Amino acid sequence: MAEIKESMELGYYFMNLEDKYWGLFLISLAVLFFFLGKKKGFLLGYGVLSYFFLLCPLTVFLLVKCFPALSLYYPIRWLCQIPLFICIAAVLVLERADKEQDWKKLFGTGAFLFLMVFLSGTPVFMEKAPAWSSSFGLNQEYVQVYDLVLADMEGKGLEKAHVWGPKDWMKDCRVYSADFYPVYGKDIWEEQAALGYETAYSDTQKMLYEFYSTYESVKGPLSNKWQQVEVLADTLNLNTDVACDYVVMHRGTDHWKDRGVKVKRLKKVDVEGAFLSRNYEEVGKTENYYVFYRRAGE
Amino acid sequence: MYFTGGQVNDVNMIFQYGLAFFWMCVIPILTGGIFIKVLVKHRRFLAVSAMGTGLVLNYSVYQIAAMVFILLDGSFRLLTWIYIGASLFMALLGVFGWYRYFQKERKPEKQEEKCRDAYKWYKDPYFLMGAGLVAAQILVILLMSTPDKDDAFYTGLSSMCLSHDYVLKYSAYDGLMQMPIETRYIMAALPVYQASLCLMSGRLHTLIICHNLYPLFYMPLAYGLYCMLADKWMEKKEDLGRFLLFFAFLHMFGNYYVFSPENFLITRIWQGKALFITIGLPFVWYFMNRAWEQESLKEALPYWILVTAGLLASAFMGETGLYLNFLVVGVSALANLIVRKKWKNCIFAACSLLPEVFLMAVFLL
Repeated sequence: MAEIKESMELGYYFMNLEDKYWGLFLISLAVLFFFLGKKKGFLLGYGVLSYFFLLCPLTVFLLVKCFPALSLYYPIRWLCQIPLFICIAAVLVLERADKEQDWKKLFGTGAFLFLMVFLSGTPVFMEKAPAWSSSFGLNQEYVQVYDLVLADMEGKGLEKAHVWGPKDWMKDCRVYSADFYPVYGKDIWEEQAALGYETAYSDTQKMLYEFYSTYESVKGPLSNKWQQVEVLADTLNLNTDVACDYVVMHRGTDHWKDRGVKVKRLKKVDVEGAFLSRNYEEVGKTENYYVFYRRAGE
Repeated sequence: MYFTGGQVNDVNMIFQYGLAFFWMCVIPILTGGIFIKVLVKHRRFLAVSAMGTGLVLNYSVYQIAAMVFILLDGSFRLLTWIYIGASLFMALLGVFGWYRYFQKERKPEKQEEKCRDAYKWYKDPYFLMGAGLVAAQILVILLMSTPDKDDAFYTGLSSMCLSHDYVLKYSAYDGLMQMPIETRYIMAALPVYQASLCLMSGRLHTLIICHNLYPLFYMPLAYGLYCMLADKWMEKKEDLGRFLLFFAFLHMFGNYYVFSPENFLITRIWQGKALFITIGLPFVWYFMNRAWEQESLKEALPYWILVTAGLLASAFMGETGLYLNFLVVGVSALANLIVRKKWKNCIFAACSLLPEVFLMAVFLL
């Protein structure tokens, strides 16, 4: 039993190997070799030479080894034109089988195609989200919040909204409309620090960012969200250097750990009360979020 | 529904989709008429090669105009208007080409030739199955979005151009507007072009243009270009159907790596690097091959012009396209020298890279 499990794990490992494209490359090599006898023109021709010089994984591997800068942003394996050559090869196999009425070769092609699909593995993944809907594939509730803010801006005659909200919400907001000016951008803090722009933010902003992240964290350690939201509202209100007109807050729930493992929801935090008592007005709310606006000049 | 600059309702959206179709498909096909004499030599792929050629010519023009505007710190809207003018002018030139083509096609001997050469795709079960798979892929893309963190940057750049009327200045990640965009992104104008498409389509959101319309219009084009390329190496015209079937099938199971070419074609054809690998590279590869096949330099010239446009369009698609083009041309030249031994064509090959050398010099020096 253990052996079966072990072999299954090994099979699973190969099925999920990221470098599966090496297998595909070997297949394309094998099939091209198969044609060595009959298709000299094809093999020596422009296509195959180009393939080996530029578009095969081996070349990409050597390129990256010689010029490490190429892999600085991402591996350039997407250049490999393996599918094109595998499919041309498969067609040529079929062509020969047709010509010579060789059913063994035809069967071989079938097996080859099966292997090809096995090696190439899983279908291209797509996360289910209706793209034709009004949300453009973005989180539906985030879009509701964006619309609330934009409608409020229009009412107040504002041209831009300095906003602060959940990480993912901020990440997408400038995609939705560039009239949003998130205090921090996408993957905000780490990204900025990595690029050496950390000095762009004041210590207060850094502190608030950390604070908000803790507040956002649902599965974090035992924490008093009630106190957190009070402090956050106070700090945002008092520190006017943090340009933040609109604040989007999750309707927080306080958590406690059940037997040290399971996280249980305990009680809704009074986010509304915390902000409304501190110079903020409510712009609107959705199922999970509140939107507040800091009154100007106060 | 509010977003950058407009309100959406159903009637308005139909009009917007119509406009987007006009700019993304009709204009490129009309523009392709400029090179109809060259394209008609491979009649089976006339629609694909015309659309590819038109697209590449439009991208090249946009790239040059965008570079000038970036250097002069010009207005994004003015850039779009200039592009509209240039694009319509090219389409008009193409219309003359198409007109002359259809006049010639009416002649009886041409009709006969056409019937003789015709590949009856509708009678080929392999082709129909392959086309069905491609259609299924597009349907899946349309019904199920492909969320991508890169939206925050690329589509963010588009929405910034629209809001602030500039051409690629600050990073889209940051609301503080003080992080200048990296040089490598400045050299590729695709996000700005997508913002222009938003304007030209009556403010259809760039997310719809990228995630829905790019796959809808350009996935068939990419498959067509690959078929055109593969057709050169297959013996019988009936092989095309088999190739398409295998190729589409392999792509559906191409998730062996997040950066696999299959994954790129299906999930993110709207991104520059994916567009380069699925449209730019097959286009350049095909026409460079055709250029080397020509007997005289005079015959080869239009092909080399198309290659030059293809290389510029690759630079437009992404900075990777810009620097890898040198490798593509060099390797192709080497392979052709070995196979065809036409030394003089190397001069054309080198000349086709001159616009890119100029682009790189402007930004790197």
